Amino acid sequence: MMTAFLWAGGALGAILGLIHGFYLFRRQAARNAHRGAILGTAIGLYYGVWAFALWALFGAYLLGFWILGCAGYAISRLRPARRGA
Amino acid sequence: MEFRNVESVAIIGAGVAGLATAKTLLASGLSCTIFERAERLGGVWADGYSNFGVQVQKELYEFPDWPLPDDTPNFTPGPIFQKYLEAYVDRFGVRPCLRLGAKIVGLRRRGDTGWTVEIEQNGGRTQEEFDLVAIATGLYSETPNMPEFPGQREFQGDVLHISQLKTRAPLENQRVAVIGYGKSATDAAMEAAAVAKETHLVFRDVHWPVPRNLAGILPFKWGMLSRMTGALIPPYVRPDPVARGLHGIGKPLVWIFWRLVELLLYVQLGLGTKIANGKNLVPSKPVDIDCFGESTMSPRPGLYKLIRQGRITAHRTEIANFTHDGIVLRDGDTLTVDRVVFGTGWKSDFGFLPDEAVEVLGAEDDGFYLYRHMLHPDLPNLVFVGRAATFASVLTYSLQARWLAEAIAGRIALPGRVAMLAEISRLKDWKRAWMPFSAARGARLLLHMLHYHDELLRDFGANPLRKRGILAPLKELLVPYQPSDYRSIVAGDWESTEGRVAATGEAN
Repeated sequence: MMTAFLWAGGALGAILGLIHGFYLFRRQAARNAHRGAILGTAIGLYYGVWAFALWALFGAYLLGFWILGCAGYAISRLRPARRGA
Repeated sequence: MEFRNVESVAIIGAGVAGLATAKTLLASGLSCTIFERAERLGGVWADGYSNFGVQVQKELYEFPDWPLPDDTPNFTPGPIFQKYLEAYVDRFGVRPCLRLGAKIVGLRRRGDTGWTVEIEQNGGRTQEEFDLVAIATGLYSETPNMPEFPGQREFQGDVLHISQLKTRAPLENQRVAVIGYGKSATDAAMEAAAVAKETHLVFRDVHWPVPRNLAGILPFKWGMLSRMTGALIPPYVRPDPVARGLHGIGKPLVWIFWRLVELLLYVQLGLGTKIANGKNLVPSKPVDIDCFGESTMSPRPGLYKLIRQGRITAHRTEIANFTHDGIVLRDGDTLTVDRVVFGTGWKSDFGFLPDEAVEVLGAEDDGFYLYRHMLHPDLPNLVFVGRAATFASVLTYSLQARWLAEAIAGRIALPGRVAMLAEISRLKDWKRAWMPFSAARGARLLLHMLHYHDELLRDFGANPLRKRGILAPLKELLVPYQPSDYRSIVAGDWESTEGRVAATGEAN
Protein backbone atom coordinates (compact mmCIF):
# COMPACT_ATOMS: atom_id res chain seq x y z
CA MET A 1 0.00 0.00 0.00
CA MET A 2 2.73 2.42 1.05
CA THR A 3 4.87 1.43 -1.93
CA ALA A 4 1.97 2.05 -4.29
CA PHE A 5 1.36 5.45 -2.71
CA LEU A 6 5.04 6.40 -3.06
CA TRP A 7 4.99 5.36 -6.71
CA ALA A 8 1.77 7.24 -7.35
CA GLY A 9 3.12 10.36 -5.64
CA GLY A 10 6.41 10.10 -7.48
CA ALA A 11 4.63 9.69 -10.82
CA LEU A 12 2.33 12.61 -10.17
CA GLY A 13 5.32 14.69 -9.08
CA ALA A 14 7.15 13.72 -12.25
CA ILE A 15 4.25 14.89 -14.41
CA LEU A 16 3.99 18.19 -12.57
CA GLY A 17 7.78 18.46 -12.65
CA LEU A 18 7.79 18.04 -16.41
CA ILE A 19 5.27 20.84 -16.84
CA HIS A 20 7.01 23.14 -14.37
CA GLY A 21 10.42 22.22 -15.75
CA PHE A 22 9.39 23.04 -19.31
CA TYR A 23 7.94 26.36 -18.17
CA LEU A 24 11.17 27.24 -16.32
CA PHE A 25 13.31 26.06 -19.22
CA ARG A 26 11.55 28.38 -21.65
CA ARG A 27 11.74 31.37 -19.33
CA GLN A 28 15.35 30.92 -18.32
CA ALA A 29 16.45 30.20 -21.86
CA ALA A 30 14.76 33.45 -22.97
CA ARG A 31 16.26 35.43 -20.09
CA ASN A 32 19.73 34.15 -20.89
CA ALA A 33 19.43 34.34 -24.65
CA HIS A 34 21.78 37.35 -24.74
CA ARG A 35 24.59 34.99 -23.59
CA GLY A 36 24.32 33.02 -26.81
CA ALA A 37 21.87 30.39 -27.98
CA ILE A 38 23.77 27.38 -26.60
CA LEU A 39 24.54 28.81 -23.16
CA GLY A 40 21.04 30.27 -22.83
CA THR A 41 19.48 26.90 -23.67
CA ALA A 42 21.84 25.09 -21.30
CA ILE A 43 20.97 27.40 -18.40
CA GLY A 44 17.28 26.99 -19.16
CA LEU A 45 17.67 23.23 -19.28
CA TYR A 46 19.54 23.19 -15.99
CA TYR A 47 16.69 25.03 -14.22
CA GLY A 48 14.14 22.77 -15.88
CA VAL A 49 15.91 19.58 -14.81
CA TRP A 50 16.11 20.81 -11.22
CA ALA A 51 12.40 21.54 -11.16
CA PHE A 52 11.61 18.12 -12.57
CA ALA A 53 13.91 16.35 -10.10
CA LEU A 54 12.53 18.15 -7.04
CA TRP A 55 8.92 17.51 -7.99
CA ALA A 56 9.63 13.84 -8.71
CA LEU A 57 11.62 13.40 -5.50
CA PHE A 58 9.09 15.03 -3.20
CA GLY A 59 5.96 14.17 -5.13
CA ALA A 60 4.79 11.54 -2.63
CA TYR A 61 5.26 13.86 0.35
CA LEU A 62 3.40 16.65 -1.42
CA LEU A 63 0.60 14.28 -2.32
CA GLY A 64 0.38 13.20 1.32
CA PHE A 65 0.19 16.80 2.52
CA TRP A 66 -2.28 17.63 -0.23
CA ILE A 67 -4.62 14.84 0.92
CA LEU A 68 -4.30 15.94 4.56
CA GLY A 69 -4.87 19.52 3.44
CA CYS A 70 -8.00 18.51 1.50
CA ALA A 71 -9.45 16.93 4.63
CA GLY A 72 -8.47 19.85 6.89
CA TYR A 73 -9.55 22.49 4.42
CA ALA A 74 -12.92 20.81 3.87
CA ILE A 75 -13.53 20.56 7.62
CA SER A 76 -12.49 24.18 8.14
CA ARG A 77 -14.96 25.30 5.45
CA LEU A 78 -17.78 23.26 6.94
CA ARG A 79 -17.11 24.23 10.54
CA PRO A 80 -14.99 27.41 10.74
CA ALA A 81 -12.61 27.11 13.68
CA ARG A 82 -13.16 29.48 16.56
CA ARG A 83 -9.94 31.40 16.71
CA GLY A 84 -8.57 33.56 19.48
CA ALA A 85 -10.65 35.56 21.91
CA MET B 1 4.87 58.75 -19.83
CA GLU B 2 8.51 59.72 -19.64
CA PHE B 3 10.82 61.85 -17.57
CA ARG B 4 11.77 64.93 -19.53
CA ASN B 5 14.81 67.19 -19.23
CA VAL B 6 15.85 66.07 -15.77
CA GLU B 7 19.09 67.61 -14.59
CA SER B 8 18.35 68.85 -11.09
CA VAL B 9 16.53 66.84 -8.44
CA ALA B 10 15.07 67.90 -5.09
CA ILE B 11 14.86 65.03 -2.61
CA ILE B 12 12.60 65.55 0.38
CA GLY B 13 13.82 63.60 3.39
CA ALA B 14 17.26 62.38 4.41
CA GLY B 15 16.22 58.95 5.62
CA VAL B 16 17.23 55.69 4.02
CA ALA B 17 15.11 56.30 0.89
CA GLY B 18 16.35 59.85 0.36
CA LEU B 19 20.00 58.94 0.80
CA ALA B 20 19.77 55.92 -1.52
CA THR B 21 18.06 58.09 -4.14
CA ALA B 22 20.68 60.82 -3.89
CA LYS B 23 23.57 58.37 -4.11
CA THR B 24 22.13 56.63 -7.17
CA LEU B 25 21.15 59.77 -9.05
CA LEU B 26 24.47 61.48 -8.29
CA ALA B 27 26.24 58.49 -9.82
CA SER B 28 24.06 59.01 -12.90
CA GLY B 29 25.38 62.54 -13.23
CA LEU B 30 22.35 64.42 -11.89
CA SER B 31 22.50 67.33 -9.48
CA CYS B 32 20.74 66.51 -6.20
CA THR B 33 19.70 68.52 -3.16
CA ILE B 34 18.33 66.71 -0.11
CA PHE B 35 16.04 68.74 2.12
CA GLU B 36 15.76 67.42 5.66
CA ARG B 37 13.74 69.25 8.29
CA ALA B 38 15.68 67.71 11.20
CA GLU B 39 19.18 68.77 12.14
CA ARG B 40 20.45 65.21 11.72
CA LEU B 41 20.21 62.84 8.80
CA GLY B 42 18.62 59.43 9.15
CA GLY B 43 14.85 60.03 9.19
CA VAL B 44 13.35 57.57 11.68
CA TRP B 45 16.90 56.55 12.62
CA ALA B 46 17.95 60.08 13.56
CA ASP B 47 16.15 60.04 16.86
CA GLY B 48 13.97 57.25 18.21
CA TYR B 49 12.34 56.07 21.38
CA SER B 50 14.17 54.37 24.24
CA ASN B 51 16.15 51.34 23.06
CA PHE B 52 14.84 51.52 19.49
CA GLY B 53 16.44 49.39 16.83
CA VAL B 54 16.03 47.39 13.66
CA GLN B 55 13.60 44.50 14.07
CA VAL B 56 15.11 42.20 11.46
CA GLN B 57 18.49 40.48 11.22
CA LYS B 58 21.26 42.90 10.27
CA GLU B 59 21.96 41.27 6.90
CA LEU B 60 18.39 42.12 5.85
CA TYR B 61 18.64 45.78 6.74
CA GLU B 62 21.65 47.28 5.00
CA PHE B 63 22.47 48.86 1.67
CA PRO B 64 23.29 46.14 -0.85
CA ASP B 65 26.47 47.93 -1.95
CA TRP B 66 27.54 49.11 1.52
CA PRO B 67 27.33 46.27 4.04
CA LEU B 68 27.18 46.97 7.75
CA PRO B 69 30.55 46.56 9.48
CA ASP B 70 31.20 43.00 10.67
CA ASP B 71 31.17 43.99 14.33
CA THR B 72 27.66 45.49 14.14
CA PRO B 73 25.36 43.76 16.64
CA ASN B 74 22.52 41.76 15.16
CA PHE B 75 19.15 43.61 15.16
CA THR B 76 21.14 46.80 14.74
CA PRO B 77 20.47 49.34 17.51
CA GLY B 78 19.10 52.65 16.18
CA PRO B 79 22.08 54.88 17.10
CA ILE B 80 24.52 52.47 15.40
CA PHE B 81 22.36 52.44 12.29
CA GLN B 82 22.34 56.24 12.24
CA LYS B 83 26.18 56.24 12.31
CA TYR B 84 26.15 53.73 9.46
CA LEU B 85 24.04 56.16 7.44
CA GLU B 86 26.54 58.96 8.18
CA ALA B 87 29.33 56.71 6.88
CA TYR B 88 27.26 55.90 3.76
CA VAL B 89 26.80 59.59 3.03
CA ASP B 90 30.56 60.17 3.25
CA ARG B 91 31.49 57.06 1.29
CA PHE B 92 29.32 57.98 -1.70
CA GLY B 93 29.88 61.74 -1.65
CA VAL B 94 26.29 62.60 -0.73
CA ARG B 95 27.10 65.00 2.11
CA PRO B 96 27.53 68.12 -0.06
CA CYS B 97 23.93 67.63 -1.24
CA LEU B 98 22.48 67.68 2.27
CA ARG B 99 20.50 70.66 3.54
CA LEU B 100 19.72 69.87 7.18
CA GLY B 101 17.17 71.95 9.08
CA ALA B 102 15.43 72.77 5.80
CA LYS B 103 11.72 72.07 5.80
CA ILE B 104 9.72 71.92 2.59
CA VAL B 105 6.53 73.91 3.06
CA GLY B 106 5.21 73.99 -0.48
CA LEU B 107 5.51 72.56 -3.97
CA ARG B 108 4.24 74.24 -7.13
CA ARG B 109 4.23 73.00 -10.71
CA ARG B 110 6.59 74.93 -13.01
CA GLY B 111 5.46 74.63 -16.58
CA ASP B 112 4.93 71.13 -17.95
CA THR B 113 7.58 69.30 -16.02
CA GLY B 114 9.54 71.05 -13.29
CA TRP B 115 8.64 72.05 -9.77
CA THR B 116 9.15 75.12 -7.60
CA VAL B 117 10.02 74.15 -4.06
CA GLU B 118 9.37 76.45 -1.10
CA ILE B 119 11.82 75.95 1.74
CA GLU B 120 11.69 77.15 5.34
CA GLN B 121 15.11 77.40 6.93
CA ASN B 122 16.65 79.57 9.65
CA GLY B 123 13.36 81.39 10.11
CA GLY B 124 13.15 82.52 6.49
CA ARG B 125 11.49 81.22 3.36
CA THR B 126 13.09 80.78 -0.05
CA GLN B 127 12.10 79.22 -3.35
CA GLU B 128 14.16 77.05 -5.65
CA GLU B 129 13.42 75.35 -8.95
CA PHE B 130 14.06 71.72 -9.81
CA ASP B 131 13.36 69.50 -12.78
CA LEU B 132 12.23 66.59 -10.62
CA VAL B 133 11.08 66.16 -7.03
CA ALA B 134 11.57 62.85 -5.20
CA ILE B 135 9.45 62.57 -2.07
CA ALA B 136 11.28 60.30 0.34
CA THR B 137 9.60 61.15 3.62
CA GLY B 138 8.65 57.55 4.33
CA LEU B 139 5.46 56.10 5.61
CA TYR B 140 5.36 56.94 9.25
CA SER B 141 7.87 59.63 10.00
CA GLU B 142 5.67 62.68 10.17
CA THR B 143 2.96 62.87 12.81
CA PRO B 144 2.43 60.68 15.89
CA ASN B 145 -0.89 58.88 15.71
CA MET B 146 -2.60 59.83 19.00
CA PRO B 147 -6.22 58.71 19.33
CA GLU B 148 -8.49 60.80 21.58
CA PHE B 149 -10.77 59.18 24.15
CA PRO B 150 -13.58 60.56 26.28
CA GLY B 151 -12.35 61.97 29.56
CA GLN B 152 -8.73 62.19 28.41
CA ARG B 153 -8.44 65.84 29.49
CA GLU B 154 -9.51 65.00 33.05
CA PHE B 155 -6.80 62.36 33.43
CA GLN B 156 -4.30 63.63 35.99
CA GLY B 157 -1.42 61.41 34.88
CA ASP B 158 0.67 61.80 31.75
CA VAL B 159 -0.34 60.76 28.27
CA LEU B 160 2.68 60.15 26.05
CA HIS B 161 3.31 58.98 22.53
CA ILE B 162 6.09 56.41 22.14
CA SER B 163 8.14 58.99 20.23
CA GLN B 164 8.34 61.07 23.44
CA LEU B 165 9.79 58.19 25.41
CA LYS B 166 13.48 58.82 24.83
CA THR B 167 14.56 57.02 28.04
CA ARG B 168 12.97 54.73 30.60
CA ALA B 169 13.06 57.47 33.25
CA PRO B 170 9.41 58.61 32.89
CA LEU B 171 8.28 55.02 33.57
CA GLU B 172 10.32 54.33 36.71
CA ASN B 173 8.17 53.20 39.64
CA GLN B 174 5.03 54.22 37.80
CA ARG B 175 1.87 52.33 36.95
CA VAL B 176 1.96 52.27 33.17
CA ALA B 177 -0.57 51.35 30.48
CA VAL B 178 0.74 50.93 26.96
CA ILE B 179 -1.81 51.06 24.15
CA GLY B 180 -1.25 49.08 20.95
CA TYR B 181 0.18 45.76 19.77
CA GLY B 182 2.72 46.76 17.15
CA LYS B 183 6.47 46.83 17.43
CA SER B 184 6.68 50.19 19.20
CA ALA B 185 3.92 49.31 21.69
CA THR B 186 5.48 45.99 22.68
CA ASP B 187 8.91 47.66 22.91
CA ALA B 188 7.40 50.27 25.24
CA ALA B 189 5.77 47.56 27.36
CA MET B 190 9.09 45.78 27.70
CA GLU B 191 10.84 49.02 28.66
CA ALA B 192 8.14 49.62 31.26
CA ALA B 193 8.31 46.06 32.59
CA ALA B 194 11.98 46.62 33.38
CA VAL B 195 11.42 49.64 35.67
CA ALA B 196 7.73 50.32 36.29
CA LYS B 197 5.67 49.30 39.30
CA GLU B 198 2.93 47.85 37.07
CA THR B 199 2.71 47.41 33.32
CA HIS B 200 -0.46 46.89 31.32
CA LEU B 201 -0.59 46.29 27.59
CA VAL B 202 -3.97 47.15 26.09
CA PHE B 203 -4.78 46.16 22.51
CA ARG B 204 -7.90 45.76 20.43
CA ASP B 205 -6.76 42.73 18.50
CA VAL B 206 -3.66 40.61 18.33
CA HIS B 207 -1.60 39.75 15.30
CA TRP B 208 0.67 36.86 14.48
CA PRO B 209 4.14 37.84 15.64
CA VAL B 210 7.24 36.90 13.72
CA PRO B 211 9.79 35.38 16.12
CA ARG B 212 13.41 36.21 15.43
CA ASN B 213 14.12 32.48 15.11
CA LEU B 214 11.52 29.95 13.98
CA ALA B 215 11.30 27.08 16.48
CA GLY B 216 13.99 28.98 18.35
CA ILE B 217 16.60 27.84 15.82
CA LEU B 218 16.06 29.04 12.26
CA PRO B 219 16.29 32.81 11.54
CA PHE B 220 12.86 33.89 10.36
CA LYS B 221 14.12 34.97 6.93
CA TRP B 222 14.36 31.26 5.99
CA GLY B 223 10.68 30.86 6.55
CA MET B 224 9.54 34.11 5.03
CA LEU B 225 11.80 35.50 2.36
CA SER B 226 12.42 32.57 0.05
CA ARG B 227 10.68 32.06 -3.27
CA MET B 228 8.99 28.97 -1.89
CA THR B 229 7.20 31.02 0.78
CA GLY B 230 6.62 33.71 -1.82
CA ALA B 231 4.66 31.17 -3.85
CA LEU B 232 2.50 30.22 -0.87
CA ILE B 233 1.27 33.69 0.12
CA PRO B 234 -1.85 35.05 -1.61
CA PRO B 235 -0.88 35.41 -5.29
CA TYR B 236 0.67 38.68 -6.48
CA VAL B 237 -1.26 41.16 -8.57
CA ARG B 238 -0.33 39.31 -11.76
CA PRO B 239 0.54 35.76 -10.70
CA ASP B 240 2.53 33.38 -12.86
CA PRO B 241 1.06 30.00 -13.90
CA VAL B 242 2.84 28.19 -11.06
CA ALA B 243 1.27 30.43 -8.41
CA ARG B 244 -2.11 30.14 -10.13
CA GLY B 245 -1.87 26.35 -10.04
CA LEU B 246 -0.68 26.30 -6.46
CA HIS B 247 -3.57 28.48 -5.32
CA GLY B 248 -6.03 26.59 -7.49
CA ILE B 249 -5.80 22.80 -7.44
CA GLY B 250 -2.92 23.04 -4.95
CA LYS B 251 -4.89 25.10 -2.44
CA PRO B 252 -4.98 22.32 0.20
CA LEU B 253 -1.16 22.29 0.21
CA VAL B 254 -1.08 26.04 0.76
CA TRP B 255 -3.73 25.74 3.46
CA ILE B 256 -1.91 23.05 5.42
CA PHE B 257 1.42 24.88 5.16
CA TRP B 258 0.01 27.98 6.87
CA ARG B 259 -1.84 25.95 9.51
CA LEU B 260 1.47 24.29 10.37
CA VAL B 261 3.09 27.73 10.61
CA GLU B 262 0.30 28.81 12.97
CA LEU B 263 0.81 25.70 15.07
CA LEU B 264 4.54 26.40 15.27
CA LEU B 265 3.97 30.01 16.39
CA TYR B 266 1.27 28.96 18.84
CA VAL B 267 3.54 26.45 20.54
CA GLN B 268 6.78 28.44 20.33
CA LEU B 269 5.35 31.67 21.71
CA GLY B 270 2.67 30.21 23.96
CA LEU B 271 -0.12 32.17 22.33
CA GLY B 272 -2.73 30.15 24.21
CA THR B 273 -1.65 31.86 27.44
CA LYS B 274 -4.63 33.13 29.39
CA ILE B 275 -4.62 36.91 29.79
CA ALA B 276 -7.09 39.27 31.48
CA ASN B 277 -10.70 38.08 31.51
CA GLY B 278 -9.81 34.60 30.26
CA LYS B 279 -8.86 35.76 26.78
CA ASN B 280 -5.75 34.61 24.92
CA LEU B 281 -3.20 35.84 22.41
CA VAL B 282 -4.35 33.84 19.40
CA PRO B 283 -5.02 36.17 16.46
CA SER B 284 -8.42 36.09 14.81
CA LYS B 285 -7.16 36.16 11.19
CA PRO B 286 -5.20 33.41 9.43
CA VAL B 287 -1.47 34.09 9.49
CA ASP B 288 -1.12 34.26 5.70
CA ILE B 289 -3.56 37.19 5.62
CA ASP B 290 -2.80 38.77 8.99
CA CYS B 291 0.90 39.15 8.19
CA PHE B 292 -0.05 41.82 5.64
CA GLY B 293 -1.80 43.96 8.26
CA GLU B 294 -0.66 47.14 9.93
CA SER B 295 0.92 45.62 13.02
CA THR B 296 3.20 42.96 11.65
CA MET B 297 6.05 42.81 14.09
CA SER B 298 8.98 40.81 15.27
CA PRO B 299 8.91 41.26 19.05
CA ARG B 300 12.00 41.41 21.19
CA PRO B 301 12.74 38.06 22.80
CA GLY B 302 11.08 37.75 26.18
CA LEU B 303 7.84 39.60 25.48
CA TYR B 304 5.60 36.55 25.79
CA LYS B 305 7.56 35.27 28.78
CA LEU B 306 6.91 38.57 30.58
CA ILE B 307 3.21 38.23 29.77
CA ARG B 308 3.13 34.64 31.06
CA GLN B 309 4.96 35.71 34.22
CA GLY B 310 2.42 38.47 34.77
CA ARG B 311 5.04 41.23 34.65
CA ILE B 312 3.11 42.61 31.71
CA THR B 313 -0.66 42.28 32.13
CA ALA B 314 -2.23 41.93 28.71
CA HIS B 315 -5.80 43.18 28.05
CA ARG B 316 -7.41 42.24 24.75
CA THR B 317 -9.96 45.03 24.58
CA GLU B 318 -10.26 48.75 23.92
CA ILE B 319 -10.18 51.89 26.01
CA ALA B 320 -13.71 53.05 26.76
CA ASN B 321 -12.74 56.27 28.49
CA PHE B 322 -10.25 57.93 30.78
CA THR B 323 -10.98 58.78 34.41
CA HIS B 324 -9.02 61.19 36.58
CA ASP B 325 -6.71 58.38 37.75
CA GLY B 326 -6.75 55.80 35.02
CA ILE B 327 -8.60 54.18 32.15
CA VAL B 328 -11.79 52.18 31.85
CA LEU B 329 -11.68 49.31 29.40
CA ARG B 330 -14.54 48.03 27.27
CA ASP B 331 -14.40 44.60 28.93
CA GLY B 332 -15.33 46.27 32.23
CA ASP B 333 -11.88 46.41 33.85
CA THR B 334 -10.60 49.66 35.30
CA LEU B 335 -6.86 50.31 35.40
CA THR B 336 -5.43 52.81 37.86
CA VAL B 337 -2.33 54.19 36.16
CA ASP B 338 0.05 57.16 36.25
CA ARG B 339 1.23 57.04 32.65
CA VAL B 340 -0.49 56.07 29.43
CA VAL B 341 1.85 55.45 26.49
CA PHE B 342 0.39 55.29 22.99
CA GLY B 343 2.34 52.88 20.82
CA THR B 344 -0.12 53.52 18.05
CA GLY B 345 2.32 54.43 15.33
CA TRP B 346 2.72 57.42 13.08
CA LYS B 347 0.75 59.01 10.29
CA SER B 348 2.20 60.14 7.02
CA ASP B 349 1.52 63.72 6.08
CA PHE B 350 2.17 65.32 2.73
CA GLY B 351 1.09 68.80 3.78
CA PHE B 352 3.55 70.39 1.37
CA LEU B 353 1.78 68.96 -1.68
CA PRO B 354 -0.45 71.36 -3.59
CA ASP B 355 -4.20 70.70 -3.46
CA GLU B 356 -4.36 69.62 -7.09
CA ALA B 357 -1.66 66.99 -6.47
CA VAL B 358 -3.52 65.67 -3.44
CA GLU B 359 -6.65 65.46 -5.56
CA VAL B 360 -4.84 63.60 -8.34
CA LEU B 361 -3.40 61.08 -5.88
CA GLY B 362 -6.92 60.43 -4.64
CA ALA B 363 -5.93 59.40 -1.13
CA GLU B 364 -8.61 57.36 0.64
CA ASP B 365 -8.69 55.74 4.06
CA ASP B 366 -6.12 53.18 2.99
CA GLY B 367 -3.75 55.73 1.49
CA PHE B 368 -3.03 56.30 -2.17
CA TYR B 369 -1.84 53.98 -4.90
CA LEU B 370 0.95 54.56 -7.39
CA TYR B 371 2.41 52.92 -10.46
CA ARG B 372 5.20 50.63 -9.18
CA HIS B 373 4.54 52.29 -5.80
CA MET B 374 6.38 55.33 -7.15
CA LEU B 375 4.64 57.29 -9.90
CA HIS B 376 1.35 58.85 -10.89
CA PRO B 377 0.96 59.69 -14.59
CA ASP B 378 -0.79 62.99 -13.87
CA LEU B 379 2.06 64.26 -11.73
CA PRO B 380 4.96 64.44 -14.17
CA ASN B 381 8.46 64.59 -12.73
CA LEU B 382 7.21 63.87 -9.22
CA VAL B 383 8.18 60.55 -7.74
CA PHE B 384 7.75 58.81 -4.39
CA VAL B 385 10.66 56.74 -3.12
CA GLY B 386 10.14 54.79 0.09
CA ARG B 387 6.39 54.36 -0.19
CA ALA B 388 6.61 50.59 -0.10
CA ALA B 389 6.62 48.70 3.19
CA THR B 390 8.68 45.51 3.07
CA PHE B 391 10.78 43.45 5.48
CA ALA B 392 13.99 44.75 3.92
CA SER B 393 13.12 48.35 3.21
CA VAL B 394 16.72 49.54 2.73
CA LEU B 395 16.98 47.06 -0.14
CA THR B 396 13.58 48.00 -1.54
CA TYR B 397 14.38 51.74 -1.52
CA SER B 398 17.79 51.10 -3.09
CA LEU B 399 16.11 49.18 -5.91
CA GLN B 400 13.51 51.92 -6.31
CA ALA B 401 16.37 54.43 -6.63
CA ARG B 402 18.03 52.28 -9.29
CA TRP B 403 14.69 51.97 -11.13
CA LEU B 404 14.29 55.75 -11.02
CA ALA B 405 17.80 56.32 -12.39
CA GLU B 406 17.08 53.89 -15.23
CA ALA B 407 13.72 55.54 -15.94
CA ILE B 408 15.25 59.02 -16.04
CA ALA B 409 17.92 57.74 -18.41
CA GLY B 410 15.14 56.46 -20.68
CA ARG B 411 16.08 52.81 -20.25
CA ILE B 412 12.63 51.82 -19.04
CA ALA B 413 9.72 51.86 -21.44
CA LEU B 414 7.10 53.42 -19.18
CA PRO B 415 3.51 52.81 -20.24
CA GLY B 416 1.26 55.62 -21.39
CA ARG B 417 -1.16 57.44 -19.12
CA VAL B 418 -4.14 55.15 -19.69
CA ALA B 419 -2.13 51.96 -19.22
CA MET B 420 -0.49 53.36 -16.11
CA LEU B 421 -3.84 54.34 -14.59
CA ALA B 422 -5.16 50.86 -15.40
CA GLU B 423 -2.16 49.33 -13.65
CA ILE B 424 -2.75 51.50 -10.57
CA SER B 425 -6.39 50.50 -10.56
CA ARG B 426 -5.45 46.81 -10.83
CA LEU B 427 -3.08 47.17 -7.88
CA LYS B 428 -5.78 48.84 -5.81
CA ASP B 429 -8.40 46.20 -6.63
CA TRP B 430 -5.96 43.41 -5.89
CA LYS B 431 -4.99 44.76 -2.47
CA ARG B 432 -8.53 45.61 -1.49
CA ALA B 433 -9.72 42.13 -2.44
CA TRP B 434 -7.79 40.39 0.34
CA MET B 435 -5.27 42.52 2.21
CA PRO B 436 -6.44 43.63 5.68
CA PHE B 437 -7.35 47.28 5.93
CA SER B 438 -4.67 49.64 7.19
CA ALA B 439 -4.04 53.33 6.75
CA ALA B 440 -1.06 52.54 4.53
CA ARG B 441 -2.45 49.55 2.61
CA GLY B 442 -1.62 51.36 -0.62
CA ALA B 443 2.06 51.07 0.30
CA ARG B 444 2.16 47.65 1.93
CA LEU B 445 3.99 44.77 0.27
CA LEU B 446 5.73 42.91 3.11
CA LEU B 447 6.12 39.28 2.04
CA HIS B 448 5.41 40.29 -1.54
CA MET B 449 8.67 42.23 -1.61
CA LEU B 450 10.35 39.58 -3.74
CA HIS B 451 7.65 39.86 -6.40
CA TYR B 452 7.89 43.65 -6.32
CA HIS B 453 11.68 43.54 -6.65
CA ASP B 454 11.32 41.13 -9.57
CA GLU B 455 8.98 43.58 -11.25
CA LEU B 456 11.41 46.49 -10.84
CA LEU B 457 14.33 44.46 -12.19
CA ARG B 458 12.37 43.16 -15.17
CA ASP B 459 11.41 46.74 -16.05
CA PHE B 460 15.01 47.68 -16.67
CA GLY B 461 16.05 44.40 -18.18
CA ALA B 462 17.91 42.74 -15.30
CA ASN B 463 17.40 39.07 -14.49
CA PRO B 464 15.33 38.88 -11.28
CA LEU B 465 16.84 35.51 -10.38
CA ARG B 466 19.86 36.62 -8.37
CA LYS B 467 21.15 33.41 -6.84
CA ARG B 468 24.46 32.25 -8.25
CA GLY B 469 26.53 29.08 -8.33
CA ILE B 470 26.01 25.48 -9.29
CA LEU B 471 23.08 25.12 -6.85
CA ALA B 472 21.39 28.33 -8.01
CA PRO B 473 18.04 26.66 -8.89
CA LEU B 474 17.81 25.07 -5.45
CA LYS B 475 18.86 28.32 -3.77
CA GLU B 476 16.18 30.16 -5.74
CA LEU B 477 13.60 27.91 -4.15
CA LEU B 478 14.80 27.71 -0.57
CA VAL B 479 17.41 30.33 0.30
CA PRO B 480 16.05 33.69 1.48
CA TYR B 481 16.65 36.78 -0.56
CA GLN B 482 18.58 39.59 1.09
CA PRO B 483 20.32 42.84 0.09
CA SER B 484 23.64 41.20 -0.84
CA ASP B 485 21.87 39.37 -3.68
CA TYR B 486 21.30 42.73 -5.40
CA ARG B 487 24.78 44.24 -4.91
CA SER B 488 25.63 44.60 -8.60
CA ILE B 489 22.16 45.96 -9.43
CA VAL B 490 22.34 48.72 -6.85
CA ALA B 491 25.98 49.46 -7.60
CA GLY B 492 24.96 49.87 -11.24
CA ASP B 493 27.58 47.49 -12.67
CA TRP B 494 25.31 44.53 -13.39
CA GLU B 495 24.97 45.22 -17.09
CA SER B 496 28.63 44.67 -17.84
CA THR B 497 28.60 41.21 -16.26
CA GLU B 498 25.06 40.02 -16.84
CA GLY B 499 23.88 41.89 -19.89
CA ARG B 500 20.53 43.58 -20.28
CA VAL B 501 17.56 41.38 -21.07
CA ALA B 502 14.82 42.75 -23.27
CA ALA B 503 11.80 43.56 -21.11
CA THR B 504 9.28 40.79 -21.67
CA GLY B 505 6.41 41.92 -19.53
CA GLU B 506 6.24 38.39 -18.13
CA ALA B 507 4.81 37.63 -14.72
CA ASN B 508 6.91 36.60 -11.74
